[in-house]
Amino acid sequence: MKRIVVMSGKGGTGKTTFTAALAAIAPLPIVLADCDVDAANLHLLLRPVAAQQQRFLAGALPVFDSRSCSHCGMCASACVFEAITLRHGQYAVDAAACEGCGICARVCPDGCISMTQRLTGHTIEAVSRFGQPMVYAQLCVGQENSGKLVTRVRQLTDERARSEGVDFVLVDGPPGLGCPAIAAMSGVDALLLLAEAGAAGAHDLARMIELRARFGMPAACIVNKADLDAVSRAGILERCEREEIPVLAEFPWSPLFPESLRQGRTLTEMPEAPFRASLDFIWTSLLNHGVTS
Amino acid sequence: MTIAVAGGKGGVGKTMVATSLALLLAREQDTLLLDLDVEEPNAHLFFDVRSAGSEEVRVMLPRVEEEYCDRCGVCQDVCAFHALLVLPDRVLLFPELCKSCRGCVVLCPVGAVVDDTKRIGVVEERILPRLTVLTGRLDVGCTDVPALIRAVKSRARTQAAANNLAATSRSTVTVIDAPPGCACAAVEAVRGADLTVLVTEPTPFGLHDLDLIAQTLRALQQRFVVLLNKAVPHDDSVQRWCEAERVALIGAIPLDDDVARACARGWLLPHALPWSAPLLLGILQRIEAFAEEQV
Repeated sequence: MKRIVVMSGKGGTGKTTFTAALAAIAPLPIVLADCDVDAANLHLLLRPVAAQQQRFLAGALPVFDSRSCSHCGMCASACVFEAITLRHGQYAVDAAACEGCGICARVCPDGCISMTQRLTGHTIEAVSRFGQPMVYAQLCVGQENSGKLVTRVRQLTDERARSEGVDFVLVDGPPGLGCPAIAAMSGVDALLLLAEAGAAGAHDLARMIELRARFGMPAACIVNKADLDAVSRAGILERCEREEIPVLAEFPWSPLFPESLRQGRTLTEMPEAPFRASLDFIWTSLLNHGVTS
Repeated sequence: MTIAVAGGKGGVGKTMVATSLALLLAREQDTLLLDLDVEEPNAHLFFDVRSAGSEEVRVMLPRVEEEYCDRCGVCQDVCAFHALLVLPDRVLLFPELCKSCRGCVVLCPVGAVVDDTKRIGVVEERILPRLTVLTGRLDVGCTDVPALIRAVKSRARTQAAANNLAATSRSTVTVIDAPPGCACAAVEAVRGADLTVLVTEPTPFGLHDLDLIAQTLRALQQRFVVLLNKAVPHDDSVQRWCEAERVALIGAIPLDDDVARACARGWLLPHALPWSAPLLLGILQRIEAFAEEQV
């Protein structure tokens, strides 16, 4: 099974737009995943049907039984995240600050703290309007553990591909370089890097390339908004050449991109199917040119 | 006063707005701009000035003193993050899994686990007239994002206090450039701000993610307003969302190739495009009015 993840470092470079466009013209059966679990968007373009939602529990949260509490304050002083405070005479946890380490429950001499699993998010298994199985997720408001939820989406995607006998997985990755990004990149066969020709895009791509070096998987690059800044574009092309990352295609800045989103269409579904040849070439390269090792 | 600029979706223009606001504020008063998108910090690219220095950020990491350790296994048992593995002859520590909770140090029955540190990134400082830009930069491969954000904020508080002691006029205002998303990093970045400006774009993606970050801020009881970027004629989806949600829409920046080019090149919008300066100044005045209102 080949797994390719679309990554960028910077947000808003077009990861979802291009993942959806590639899905729309996929020359082989694929399974799709959206690993941007904080703010999933792929389903907005692919409008999946037959969605089945599952709760995802991860991490832990303390629950206080105030009847046996002697107000010794050991829980609050042991919490390095400053998540436990005295409110109206009762100890309570700030769920957004709590990391779920459970040390409060262990140091409480009165045994009045128990740890419960917390609902971190939901995973959704569905079928895209192009008939491809797809898995995505929604993290609960302000939750930790987005990396774990990404890992769960990846597991479900692989299971789905195996059960359907599909050999190709295309993953829409999250922005950034932290837990969700690392979880999305772990164990994939190749990265499809989406760079934006700007100072920020070039800077962020460089850090993404550094992170990729730790994994060592092959990568290919798409340069988006390529006409916005010649200096940054040249820097991106030069860096890709140095890293032996083939640049598969370049796309201009165009109001057509947001317009296609507003119409709920993938790029190739717009009148005259703009960029169809470039998108076909990306597919050919992903399938034939060693990018997938 | 602290104003955070967030937005849920990536690429909506958070950094463009945060840098523009900081630039305009610094005309009148001491201003701090905190780049808390520590995974991919970009705000410094808009200021043509070298880093005046960077300070390492380290967080607690336990160290097991093997000569005192009797391999009882308590540390492994208490670690909710599976960062410790007690083997018959030694204890293995996985620094990248450790969340620095200190449980192993506190609960080791023989005191064999002690406090040590690990490096997670740096805070860079850039100094301009009346404006200090503090950038959190996570080391590539590290995941301690909230901890680094807290470190930059703590550094900023010290700086603001020093400014305020020296200042003769108005107190320091802080502008925060927050990371994309709605998870722990974004929450940590906007926590405690007097007002959060949610930048969005009139696309289904922008609206969907605006809705998520708005829910997040409501859960945190943080006040927020919306700023529409990449506005196009004949699309009032964001206006309608704001009316339905009773959230103030404080302005609109048009979808424009000059704006896109200026941003891509790392130019400050009020400098690069003279027509944008009065527009942004109006937006800033409305932000200040909202931020001051509640206190």
